[in-house]
Amino acid sequence: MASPDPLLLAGRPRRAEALIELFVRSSGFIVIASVVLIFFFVGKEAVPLLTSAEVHEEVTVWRMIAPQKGGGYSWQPVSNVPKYSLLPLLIGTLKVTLVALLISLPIAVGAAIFTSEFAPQGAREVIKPAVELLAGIPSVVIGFFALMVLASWLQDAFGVPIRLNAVTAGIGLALAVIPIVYTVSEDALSAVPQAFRDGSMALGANRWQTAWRVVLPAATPGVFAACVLGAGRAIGETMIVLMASGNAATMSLDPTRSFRSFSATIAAELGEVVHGDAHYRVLFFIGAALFVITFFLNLAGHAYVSRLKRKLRG
Amino acid sequence: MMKRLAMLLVAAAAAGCGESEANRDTIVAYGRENNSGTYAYFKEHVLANEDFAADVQTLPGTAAVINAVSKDKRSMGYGGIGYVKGVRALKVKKDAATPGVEPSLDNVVNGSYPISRYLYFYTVGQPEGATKHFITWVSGAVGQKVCGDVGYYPLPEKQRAGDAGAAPAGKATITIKGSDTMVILGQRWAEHYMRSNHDITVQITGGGSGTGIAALINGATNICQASRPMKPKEKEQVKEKHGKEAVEFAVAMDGLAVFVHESSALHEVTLEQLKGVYTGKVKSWSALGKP
Repeated sequence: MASPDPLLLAGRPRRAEALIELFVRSSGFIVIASVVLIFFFVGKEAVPLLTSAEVHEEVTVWRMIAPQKGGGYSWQPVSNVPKYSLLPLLIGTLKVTLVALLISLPIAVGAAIFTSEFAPQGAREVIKPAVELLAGIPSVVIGFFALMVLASWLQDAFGVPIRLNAVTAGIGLALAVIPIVYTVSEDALSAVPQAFRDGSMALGANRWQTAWRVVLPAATPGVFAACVLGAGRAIGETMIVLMASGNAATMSLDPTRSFRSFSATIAAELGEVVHGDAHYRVLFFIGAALFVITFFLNLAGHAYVSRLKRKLRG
Repeated sequence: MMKRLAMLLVAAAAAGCGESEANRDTIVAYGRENNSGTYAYFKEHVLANEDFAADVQTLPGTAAVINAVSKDKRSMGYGGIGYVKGVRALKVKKDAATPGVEPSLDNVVNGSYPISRYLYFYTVGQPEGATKHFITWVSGAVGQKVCGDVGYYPLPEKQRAGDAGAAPAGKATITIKGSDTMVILGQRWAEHYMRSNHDITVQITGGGSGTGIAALINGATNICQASRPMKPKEKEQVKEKHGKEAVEFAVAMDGLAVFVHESSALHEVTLEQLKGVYTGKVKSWSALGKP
């Protein structure tokens, strides 16, 4: 490699460079600091749930997990005897996340394989920006679509008794997850060196065999990271779920029944709770729990990806 | 392989399409989110403080409930009377022996419609000066007429305040915060009031009953408007913080309509039946006496 032209560098003032470096460095710190500060704020509001005697008269963490008096688990925070069981909310959240991922991951990864391996150059230049545009649709619009249109379609087609259910919300959620998973996995697939494809073809594999057995495995770390990102989005997404789930805190595992998720519960209830009381603490506790869940999901995904990468380089 | 898959799909679709008898008979109950004054009122007055059944679906906003019910033949919902459109409001009976009462202005104001509520103003301690004048004006003949014009229900004659008289001299600002249900009403009151009282400025913001009450506790507003009564705990907080009691003023009325899909065969419902539906004891239309 040729060394940089000394004349070009000489004219540049050092101070500007130092300033730019400072700016870039502080941007990095600001991002990290905001995440940490958000977590501390949410955590701080939730801590009295563990420590305050006043809150404990109404609810303890144990009572949020254990079966309630008279059996059963229910979420009835506004009641003479408030009941804060997290189990129906957990079931609801997992139920919709699972449905959304089952729908979105095959479609998104499939579309990514198509665009990177099979689509003609012209089509690719249209498809990719178009799908990325989908990511720009505000989730409240998708939620509204699911509530008004999708729910009716599904009810007419399958005659389910409850319009707003985990399938309706899951499909809405999938619309939000697909662009993320698609665009990240497409990048990963496109980044696989052309030499891999050429080598595979030279050995007599056809395009499908090349895509499925050579390119996809080589891109697994990136594709997997995309899926983890999608799962994180699905768990935390609020507006679509709030609008299309029916928000009934049932314990049912049936995807055609209504459910209530963690995120929608916070969105629906936080605006009107008495500041600082037990219900308020519980909502912040749920927020902190969601934060921790997505954090560990990303961490586990990251660890798995780096292990895969090492193995592939191996 | 493909053929078998196709057959499987067709079978699944056929099984789904044939609506089962049990499905058609199930009541799908919709309600409001538990942060709303409407939810609290319904729970207290219709469910007698029992819990809602877990599978009652809760939606953000009365308009959303109406919309859901208008699209679902097997559903039932409740919400503010003013919103009812595209669904059929049921007559409500106090018990099986009394006649069903239509939810209408007259029936709400004369008290014969069984599920109506008050809308409130709260202040810290007895109001004084401009605030007192404003509240008296609102509860009097002029304020209550405005209330009727905007589409809310005025107080019964005997609960109205007398003539407010002249406003206290000098400039003053009154801040009002609270219930989203009452924001439009509050704005109209403010406009009319300021037209005849030039020295006084009235500022209204929404945010919800809970938000308004929190602002009152923190001393951030003169008046809090709420579509539900204050909870004992909130009253305690006012007393703790300010050393004065929270004072309540009923300033308007609102009725809750119970509605079903327009094609429904059901025309009236008793409070007992309603309680059954929302606590989960009555699950089918046939139990309400309608196919």
